[in-house]
Amino acid sequence: MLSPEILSWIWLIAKVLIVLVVVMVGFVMNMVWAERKVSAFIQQRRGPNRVGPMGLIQVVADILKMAFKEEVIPREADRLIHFLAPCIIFTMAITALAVIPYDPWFYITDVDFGILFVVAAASMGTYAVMLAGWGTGSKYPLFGGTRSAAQLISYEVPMLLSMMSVAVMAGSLSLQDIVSAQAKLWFCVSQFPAFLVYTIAMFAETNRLPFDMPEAEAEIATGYMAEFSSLRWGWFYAGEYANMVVASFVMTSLFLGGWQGPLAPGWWWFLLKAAAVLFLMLWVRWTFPRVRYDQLMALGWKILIPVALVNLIATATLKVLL
Amino acid sequence: MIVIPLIKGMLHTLRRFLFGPTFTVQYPNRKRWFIFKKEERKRIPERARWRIALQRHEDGKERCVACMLCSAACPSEAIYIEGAVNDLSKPISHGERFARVWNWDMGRCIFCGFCAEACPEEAIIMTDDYELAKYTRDELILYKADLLLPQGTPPRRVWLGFYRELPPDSPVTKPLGVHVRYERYLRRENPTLYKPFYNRAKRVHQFLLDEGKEAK
Repeated sequence: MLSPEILSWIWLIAKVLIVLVVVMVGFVMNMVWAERKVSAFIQQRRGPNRVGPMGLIQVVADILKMAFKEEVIPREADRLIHFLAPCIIFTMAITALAVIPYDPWFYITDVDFGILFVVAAASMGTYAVMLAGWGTGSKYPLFGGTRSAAQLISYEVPMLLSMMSVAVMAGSLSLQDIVSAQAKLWFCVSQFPAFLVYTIAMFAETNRLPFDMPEAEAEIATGYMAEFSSLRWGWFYAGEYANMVVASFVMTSLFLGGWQGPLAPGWWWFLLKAAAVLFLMLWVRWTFPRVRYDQLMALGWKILIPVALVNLIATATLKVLL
Repeated sequence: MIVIPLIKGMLHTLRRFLFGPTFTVQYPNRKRWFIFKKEERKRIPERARWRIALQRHEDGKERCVACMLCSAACPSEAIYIEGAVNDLSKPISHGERFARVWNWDMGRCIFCGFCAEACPEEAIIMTDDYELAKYTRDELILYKADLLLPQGTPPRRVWLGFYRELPPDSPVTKPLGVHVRYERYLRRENPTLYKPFYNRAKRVHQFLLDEGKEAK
């Protein structure tokens, strides 16, 4: 007989599998396709349309191509770190999925420190970039890794500050509580400065244009990914998109009301909002050019951190007074 | 404000994303049973110099009279012709002779158009058929049956040169190409030195004959 304990374990594993399948197949793979299609439409091309209907199976072809490529490991590389970096980036990217509230009743786990968990996982992903830069024993990847570290410091701070003002509004660090607190008004309205700061920091956090300093092709030749090939490069690629998906999930939960929405079930609203955020990321990427490194730093330290800090103080003061 | 140009840029790309026309030509589009794909190809100019073709008279007789001027004019020796005398009861061309063998080696051809220019009968024209890729070298040799246009194809005039426009109804007089004049000069000045062309197309023809195959 199946005891309730075993059943709950099976349900937990089933939830993890459902989330992984939905995120990996539904989002990460289709994001690769969507990125190519959106960029093509913006540039008035057609994009991939040969493999499968509308090129949807192009990603499978790409994965097969990557799997059959030769794997080159540089002589100077630290083999352990070179092996670990792609594993870490992807693992850490999908770790944050554990605390995301997809639905009032569907979530893998709901912890009291949900925001901290998400930020910790995202920061660990940056470690993978730094390790990749160091472990390949090559110049440009090292530049990329160093840039990633500097970018982490200057963008993790405003991101956390903006998240903290949201937490102050909701009175909890748990993502499920934060979503519940947005029943009347989404935080993207009541916390508009924090919303802007988080949006900008999100691009830097996920290494997307216009802030993709660690992998700037024109300057440092794809940076930390330069010495990776075959499926290891593929894991970096997938990790980048998984990071984007996680960032969009977090933004949906924190600012866009999560699963709140009329008529349709909660998970439907959640995925719809996440898809909208993802489209915004693609849209911004194919609109703006890459900023200079000092501009990036100036934006982070001189504008975003003061704005987020003032917003946090004002929110806390109002919360105490009212 | 720095925000306004950012929004302008976003709206620009959004407009392109939603309403922008696509300029891609879906050229090598295979038709599949489960998905309809429109075949698109780029329109190339009418006077493009691609695959050559042999014209016919209006009554279906071949225009080529096997005068060998094209073969003589060809700088890369890509044309091989064997002439034969017409059977008067059922002639193949209007002249006394006709081309029994007319081989064109596409692998050697440089698409200069001298053959079309040299032809006194306007038998050779250059068409806009540019899909010339083949899998083997033997396929690169086209025979008379491949080159002859079907009866009823509207006749096309070869205009003087390729860059000089003539009024379409003016009588076309064709000067001989420089290679033809050079050949005639050689033949006249030093008949013993002159040798007929032994080119690859002829070798292949001979090879096919030796193999017992009937040349097309």
